[in-house]
Amino acid sequence: MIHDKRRFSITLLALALAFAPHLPHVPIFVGIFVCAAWGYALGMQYRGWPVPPRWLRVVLALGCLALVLFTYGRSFGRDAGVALLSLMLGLKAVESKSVRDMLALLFLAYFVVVTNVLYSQTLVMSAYMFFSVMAVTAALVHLHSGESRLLPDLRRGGLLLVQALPLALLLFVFFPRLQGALWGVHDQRDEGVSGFSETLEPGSVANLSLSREVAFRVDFPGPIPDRDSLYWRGLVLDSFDGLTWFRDLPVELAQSRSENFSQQAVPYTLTLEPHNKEWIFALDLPVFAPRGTVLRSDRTLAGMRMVSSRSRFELVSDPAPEQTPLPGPAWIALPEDGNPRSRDLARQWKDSGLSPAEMVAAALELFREGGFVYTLRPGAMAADIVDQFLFATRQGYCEHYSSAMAFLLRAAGVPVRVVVGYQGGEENPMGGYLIVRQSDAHAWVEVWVDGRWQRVDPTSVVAPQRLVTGVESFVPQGQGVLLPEGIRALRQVGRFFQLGWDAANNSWNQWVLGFSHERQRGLWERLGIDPTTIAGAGKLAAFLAAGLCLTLGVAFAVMLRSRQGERDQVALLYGRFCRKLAAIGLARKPAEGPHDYAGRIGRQRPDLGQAARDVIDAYVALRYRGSGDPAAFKRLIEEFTGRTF
Amino acid sequence: MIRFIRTLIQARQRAPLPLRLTRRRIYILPTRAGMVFAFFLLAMLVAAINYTNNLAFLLTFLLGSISILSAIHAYANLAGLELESARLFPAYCGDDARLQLFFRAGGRERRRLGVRVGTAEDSFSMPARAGREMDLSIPTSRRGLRPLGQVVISTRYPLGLFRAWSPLILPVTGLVYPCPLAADRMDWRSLHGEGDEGALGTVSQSGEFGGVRPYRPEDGLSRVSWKASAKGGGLFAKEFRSGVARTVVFDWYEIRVSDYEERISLLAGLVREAERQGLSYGLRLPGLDIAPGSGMSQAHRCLEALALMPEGS
Repeated sequence: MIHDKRRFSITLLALALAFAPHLPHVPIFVGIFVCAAWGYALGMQYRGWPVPPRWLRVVLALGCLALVLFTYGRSFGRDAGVALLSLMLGLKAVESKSVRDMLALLFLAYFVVVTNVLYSQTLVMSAYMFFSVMAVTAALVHLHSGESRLLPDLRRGGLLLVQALPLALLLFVFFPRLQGALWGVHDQRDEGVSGFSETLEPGSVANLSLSREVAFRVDFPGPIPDRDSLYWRGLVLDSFDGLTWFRDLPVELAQSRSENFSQQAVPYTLTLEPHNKEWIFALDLPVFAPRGTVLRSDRTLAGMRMVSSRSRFELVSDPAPEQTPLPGPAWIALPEDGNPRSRDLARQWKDSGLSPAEMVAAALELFREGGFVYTLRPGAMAADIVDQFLFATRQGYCEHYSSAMAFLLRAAGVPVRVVVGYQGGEENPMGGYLIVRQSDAHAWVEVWVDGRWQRVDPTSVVAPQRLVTGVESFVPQGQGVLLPEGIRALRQVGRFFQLGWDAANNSWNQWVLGFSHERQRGLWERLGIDPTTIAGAGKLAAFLAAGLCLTLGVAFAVMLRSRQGERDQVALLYGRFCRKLAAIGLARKPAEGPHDYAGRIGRQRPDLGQAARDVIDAYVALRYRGSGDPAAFKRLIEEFTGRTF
Repeated sequence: MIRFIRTLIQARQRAPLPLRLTRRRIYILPTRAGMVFAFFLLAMLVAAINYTNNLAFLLTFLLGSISILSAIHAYANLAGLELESARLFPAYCGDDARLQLFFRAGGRERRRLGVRVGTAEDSFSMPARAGREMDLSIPTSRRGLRPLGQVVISTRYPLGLFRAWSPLILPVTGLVYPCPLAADRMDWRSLHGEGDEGALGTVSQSGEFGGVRPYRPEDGLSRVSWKASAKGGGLFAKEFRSGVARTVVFDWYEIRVSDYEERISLLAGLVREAERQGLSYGLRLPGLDIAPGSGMSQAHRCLEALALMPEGS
């Protein structure tokens, strides 16, 4: 059977499609070996190259194993496994002789497709995986169909896949998910995904603001709150060393206050992209900590573990700040010296008897009226950065403003803290959710006034549009040349597709990749199933069984339906014609062909001869020549059977 | 007990012709490859659970669903197939008997159906509503009636994970002629009866050509006068002027061969040779006389009688 070269090359083609996404992951020598082995296997089929002797195959197999062990050493994980699998694919192809060997190759191909999920689960890659499953299935069909053409087998492979989808989705939804792994999973994810930084160094130049990477997405069941109230708090920085704001005070945990939150509390779902840190960016003042997270005393949320995969959190936030006792002296601590002019200004305020609220107003007044400029290119500063910013350069972005404001207020004895996080976000009209990007990273301050930590965003007075349109309006636009109308329109179209693509990705992430134990439970609850009780489990089983029967029953009915095509229609019509004639004693004899029949009718009933001849000619044309118009035939038949004789 | 169950199963497999394969006759089980694949799937499922990887779950379930559906496809490939007729043509013992099966596809196309009878097997495909004749060569080993035995129609299409099959015991019995002794091994002289001229008669190598007459099916192809037929107006057969020497009767009791089966073989060989030479021949067996005649039907009558001779003592 394997002398059927075509089947072998199609098997190899399916294998290559399944293997292609692995090429970047495997070491070069593995890629070369696999391609060479496949090439040789094809040569064996088409050119009659000799089958490598058994000893050579054994040596090659051992050599491959040794190379993999040498390359990966002791850490035999995902990469080593895939490399070994790839080498097996190469070797197996060379020694494939029978249909069973090809079957084994195609099973391996399925396996290779599934190992892809260890590397990438994006929408594109997933679509490609489905495509390769179809290709491998079609190759399997081709192996068993005995057909020489490929197209019917491709179609059958596609049909199998389409019919299998509902069943697969059913199993996907109802197959019970466990919490956590069966055994330890070695995490190989890369460290240090670039993102927002956990300290604030106003002297360093912004590059973060320009990254369009998605930080997280937020889905509000209700309307999306006003953009200028969207402050996503990440981390509270409590200490300053003259150059950098950072977190120093020990972390205390806070109680959830699930019972008394105000009317304005907003529920939402946050889907955080992995950033390999524990911060979770909640809208200000999350009310409680969802499972797997803790609420800190500064009302920031943190995961109990690093967020190393895309994670979903159901949150409720209350915009009204809560009463807190007077913070300790740590919240007004500053370095011993440095920034003398700023300290003088603060002392003036204090001496003139301004209340904390008035001092905040004074600082904002200073920023608004003092000739300050919002820019993403403030230039680097080395020492006395607050003084330099306030009295010399007067240009900077959120970090400079919040750092300067916090310094002034602390110097005046007002408890204040710097908050870093994100501000705003872009609404995706196609998905009805908010996309928050790395470019939305922001810093602001919270001042303890009237017994509450109240948010003050100094940047907002300098650059109010920063809150409305986002930071992008500050990105320098080339040489200030106005773009022609056409290009602007093109950009709009591009943006439309970009948002649509993000919506598709988001749905994929939410509904497929993010379908967790908790969400499955939620779905079951909505269906009124409680799997912890026996009745609930029975109900679940019944649901599953009913779904199985339904999907398989439909597939069964579809497969067993006979193709009632046009040709059958023709036969039915011809049957009517014959029955009509049989009624007047001119039944067609079993062995009588259409032409003989027509001749006999003409001899016995010359009055019907021409009409019958017309019908039979049309029938012969449709039936045997494959030409003619079925509708016209139908008319002829109706005309004939409508007669009275 | 086992015998009883076998009888029961065989009773179920007994199938009158024409027949249509329905669920009562179709069995389906995973193949060995299917078992291996199931094991593969199980491994994938465990990995998906362990890594709580939803895409792996989805792919595993997709592959699982595909394999379950392939069982339905395999079943559908077989169900509704019609076996319209089955004929087992007579053959000389030791030769292959031709089994002619005629299938109709019914409303669906059929892909790679295998037919197996004993060791003979073949496969075929056909489009929807087509008909197809399949010929199998069935080896024969002894003269007499030969029940066809079990015919198995099976398919592994589309994925090879499941095999659907239908075992059928058809009401078809073939006839196996005795193994004829080759002509060159026969000593024609030894066949002459010593005194009894009428029993065996003399054998002349060719009859005298007497003319043509319309062909009758029992004449056999060797008697067709192609020259006369080529002029149109139907087939004509050569007629030989009957003479003293051209009728021969092979007599069981005249054969001087002691072995029972060998005697049958010899007679079968004589019949075949006589038919080949266009003689008029008859056969006298214990309890049976076949009047002289010639042609296919005469040969068949004689060979059948020989084939059905009781077992020798």
